[in-house]
Order: sequence, then C-alpha cells, then structure tokens
Amino acid sequence: MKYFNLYSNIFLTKGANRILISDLQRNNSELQSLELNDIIEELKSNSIEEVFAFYDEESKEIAQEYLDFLLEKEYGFITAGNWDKNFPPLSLEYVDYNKTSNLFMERNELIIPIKLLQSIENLQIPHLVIYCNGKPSLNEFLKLDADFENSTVETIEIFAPYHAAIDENYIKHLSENTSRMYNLVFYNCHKKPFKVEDIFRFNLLFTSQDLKINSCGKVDLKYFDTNIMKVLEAVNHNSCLHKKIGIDIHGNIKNCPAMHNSFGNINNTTLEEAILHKDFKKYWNLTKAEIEVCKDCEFRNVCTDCRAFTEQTHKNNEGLDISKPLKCGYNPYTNRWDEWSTNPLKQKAIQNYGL
Amino acid sequence: MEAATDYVCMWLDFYKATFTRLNGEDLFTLKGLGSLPKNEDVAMVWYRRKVASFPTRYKLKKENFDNQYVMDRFLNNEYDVLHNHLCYLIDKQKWLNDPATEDKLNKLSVLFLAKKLGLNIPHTEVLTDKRSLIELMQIYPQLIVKPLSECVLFSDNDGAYFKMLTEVISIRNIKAVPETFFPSLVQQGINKKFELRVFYLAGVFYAMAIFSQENKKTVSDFRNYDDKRPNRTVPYILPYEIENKLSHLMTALSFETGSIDLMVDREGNYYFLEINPEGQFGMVSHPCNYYLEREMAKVLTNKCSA
Ligand code: SF4
Ligand code: SF4
Repeated sequence: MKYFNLYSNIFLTKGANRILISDLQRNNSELQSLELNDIIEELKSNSIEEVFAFYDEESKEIAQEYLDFLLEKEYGFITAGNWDKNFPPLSLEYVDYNKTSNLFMERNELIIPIKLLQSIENLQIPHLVIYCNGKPSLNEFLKLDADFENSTVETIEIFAPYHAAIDENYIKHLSENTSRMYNLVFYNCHKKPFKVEDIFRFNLLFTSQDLKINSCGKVDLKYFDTNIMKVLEAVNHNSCLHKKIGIDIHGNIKNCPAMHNSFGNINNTTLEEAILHKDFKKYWNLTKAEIEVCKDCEFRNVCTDCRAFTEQTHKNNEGLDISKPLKCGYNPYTNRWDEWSTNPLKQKAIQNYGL
Repeated sequence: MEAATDYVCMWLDFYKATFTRLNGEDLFTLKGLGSLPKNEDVAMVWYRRKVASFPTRYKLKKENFDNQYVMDRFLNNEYDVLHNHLCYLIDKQKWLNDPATEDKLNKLSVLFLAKKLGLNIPHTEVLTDKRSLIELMQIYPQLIVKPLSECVLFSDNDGAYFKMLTEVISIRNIKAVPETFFPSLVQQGINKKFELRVFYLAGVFYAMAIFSQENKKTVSDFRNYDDKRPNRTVPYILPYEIENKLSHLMTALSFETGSIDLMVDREGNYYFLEINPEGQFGMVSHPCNYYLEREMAKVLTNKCSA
C-alpha cells in the first residue's frame, strides 16, 4: 500500500466553498476546490489505494488527477507501507522578543519630539510608519533618520504628500544619506518627477491617489501576501494590531491612528505607560477565527484584519468588535468580489465613520 | 553582520542576560591586549565563527597574483594567532564547544568515530588513481568525490567564482578522470530519499529534512541552490537510536552544539555524513519554525546562572 504525506509547510485554509493552499516555504498561495480538500483529508487516514477504491471508475480518474497535481506541485510525497511518522506537523507557535513591533503615527511633520524618541528607544520598537500631512523637506528626512542612529529602529516607512521640491536629486540624496528608510510613498502626485528605477536603498512610489489616514484598511487580493511569519502571526494574533501602537494627529495614543479609543496623549502620557493600560492589548489576540464572515473565508490567514473600520454589526461578550472589516468587498459564500463602498448594507457604517 | 547572531543577542536581551558580542571584525580596531575579554569576567562563551571577511583588503603595490596569494595566506595566519589567543584567555570549560577540538576537527576521523559508535557511514576511501576508482565501482557503481577539508571557492582572474562541491563519478563519466590524481575523498553514492540537516544543542536535536532528489539540478549537493523551486525543507524527528548514537558522538567530541548532516536512503537507512561545529542554525530554524535563536539564548542564559 502507498501513502500520501502532505509536507508540513503546506498550510490549508478552508473557506465556505473553497480552500486556499498556502505554501509557507515558497511564499505563494492558490485557490482550490473543496473536493481537493476532501481528497487530502481522506489521504490522511487512508492509503492511496483505499481512497481510490471509494470512487467509481469515472471519478477515479479525477482522484488520480488530484493526486498528480499534489505531487507535481510538490505539496507532498509518497511512502510505501505507512505514512512516514517521523515528519511532525509544523509548529504554529509565534513568538518574538519585542514588546511592540510597530509604531504607526499620523503627523504634520517628520520631526519627532525628544520624549517620544526616548519612548521608542525604551520600547525597542523596530518598525516605524509615519503618515505625514505636511510637505517634508530634505532636512527633515535626514534628521529623522539621524535621530535613530544607534537605535533599535530597523525600518521607517513614510507616506507624504508630493511637492515640487522632490526630484531625482532629492531622492538620490536621501538614498545616499539615510540608512533606515524602507518604503517611501509620495501621494497626490499627478506627474511622476522621474522614472523610478530600482536603484535606491528603499522602495519608492509616486501615486496620484490622495491618501488619507482613513484610506487605510482596504482589503484586496493584491495585498495578500504569503509569508510564514505573517501567517503564523495571523493564526495566533490580530493580523493588524498585534504589537502595534498608534498615535493620531492630536497626539492621542491608540491601537492605530484610525481607532477610536485613546489611552492618553503623548503630552502627558508615555508610550510605556499607555501600553500598560488594561485595554491596550485587548485586540492583540483577536484572530480572524472569531470575526464574522472572515471566519468562513479562505483568505483569513493571509488577510489583514482592520479593526478601525468595520461593518459595526457584531460585538462579542467582552465587548470587542468582531464585525467584518468594512473595506472588504469579498463574500466567501458566493466567492465574488464587489465594490465595498457602494454596498447598500455598508452605508450606515460608512456614514458613521464619515468616509 | 550575521542575522542569526543578531537574533540570539535580541533573545539574550529578552532573558535579561548580560553579554558582550565580539565580532571577528572588532579585532581590527583592537586597542591593546588589555581590551580583550578577561577570564574572570566571563561565565560562558559561545563561539559562532571567526570572521566573515577582513574589513579592508590589503593590496600589493605591484599587482602579482602569486604574491597576493602568499600575502593573503600570511595575513590569515597572522589573524589566527591573535584569534586563537582568545581560546587560551578563557578557561576551556567555559566554552560551549571546546575551541581546540573544534579547530582540529578532522572530517575523516569524525567519520570513522561515528562508525565506531554504531552509525552507518557511506563506504569511505581516499584514492589516488583511476584503476582503484574503477575497482571500487564494481562494488559501488556510483561514487562521489568531495573535498577532504572545507569547501572552497575558486575565483578566476575575471572575478567569477567556481564552487568546489560534490561530484558524482560513474562509468559514464569515468573517462574524464586522469590516471593518477591528488589524494581525494571518495565515497559510495547513496540513493537518497532525503537529506537531514540536524542542529544539536545541549542534548536536543532539531532536525530538518531536505528533499532534493526531485530537483535534478541539486541531486548531489543541495548547496547548489535552486531559487525558483527550492528544495522542500520540513521538520523531522530522528529515531531514538540515531539520536542516541549521535549524542555519544557529540559527547566524544565535547561539543554542546553543532550542525550534523545525515542522509536517508530509499530503504530508510540513515547515514552519517559530517559535523559542522560552527552550526549555521538559521537555515534550519526559520523553515521549521524552531526558534533556535531563542533556544540558544536560553541555553546560554541557563548555563551562566547554573
Ligand atoms: S486597524 Fe485598520 S486603519 Fe488601523 S492600521 Fe490596521 S488596517 Fe489600518
Ligand atoms: S472576508 Fe474577511 S478574511 Fe475574507 S477577504 Fe474579506 S476581510 Fe479578508
């Protein structure tokens, strides 16, 4: 007898009508039918010959095609006599050494007050994201980067409005004189100042969109990303808010700048104090398995779980908002993607948020 | 510098351990022997590796390939004296792995030690001529030739690199072998199901299976990376008796850590191949989600407080 062994880094997420097969090693995912999922399940407790015997002549061919597909994709291997029990499942543990991993701020300028710099250092935050309303000068950029020299900050991402001073030289200068810039997005840019090539230390994007802090949280296939650490984080924690701190435009410390709840203002509260608040981490462990609709969606482990903009329909008994993200147009029961902003059922929530 | 080491340091911080990280590169800015670590200040040493590359490249005034080579060797030897001095500065028992054993590690003798301890090894010979090679082929139709020492990179004058890895010799390509050759390590080719890369740390084995057979390009050595379809690498549990024998081997070598290569053939037999005490665990840790950087930090922290 022969046995099919699924490689342990092939991660299946079952949705209402389909499955998503995520290859956690090769960092890609593909949609497949529930039928394939059934065969994979059967192959877990039966030999290949036994599984084939379940099917009549016609269906046997299909079963064979599925098996060929699994082998062709290198999703598994065949053994004789028994499954190879020396292959354990992949541990789904997710841990890291940081208390917080990401600080997301909305600001009018890039310069960061000394007190805040100190908190970033104390909390050893590795990733910063700044959504800037003002038009940052070259010097502001350089000062920002220099302020984190010898710090634990590894990456800085910036969203800023485009303005005429930003040309190829400006960007070149930035690339040569900064070391932590990781991703720069200049929005409201109607004509790219030059042809962007992949020669800078950071990713660079000019977009004509007028990005606002409440543009955040859109769900789209193109944002899904298969990455073992991201998937494991999503399985165990909230895929957006886990270990995140937000600071809104007024200096209020929140889970993200677009969230409603504030845990103090940076003028009178430090980040270290704010994260000790009993409610600060309440969303950190809310996973998609508890979110309405998402819990039946095959994309739930590669998707981002926005808690700032939701359909506002459900709360759990701890008072956490467990409604589906507002800006998702996907319906896992029909497998259709529709425009979310014109969905009549979402209009009330859209108005509530003033979007 | 090196990511796995960075992570170990982060985890050491997490466990609130006090530590100093000394990079091989730091010796190039040494401010006197007095600034080297002192025995009485140190409870435990984890030696990762010597140095990735020298921070500056020293060039001859007049370019000359042979002289450049001699000088590079000289500089390496110079560096080694200073580097090895560290091993004597700090008591032997404070090192996670005995640095002297580590330095003298001999691929051939480790193989035969493993065999003595009951592990299977591929039939291993050192040969110097084609005739003996052909004779051996009567018993083992496929042979592999690999370096006795470490794997090196050759570069030609245009700066292109050639890797010296494992070559498969069979009746098909025996013609290309010269009548006599430099003493070379020849091993029985194993019809492998998968390879195992095992990280050993303080009595615990963390194994990863590498399925490379499916990829024609990497059949004989998985270091020939294939980016598009990388070899499947998944967690693996070694059978108890193999772990047991490997434990004896590690104890015999007084290693608390190291990376062990094994191979499993189509019949399910395990073959021991080699040990690399400098243990690169990043490539096992991440795909198998083992958090070996954390385990390493835990072991170091516990040993210090013991
Ligand atoms: S919760 Fe929503 S708005 Fe806030 S950061 Fe996440 S996706 Fe963006
Ligand atoms: S339904 Fe939920 S999990 Fe599915 S795509 Fe939309 S937001 Fe993501």
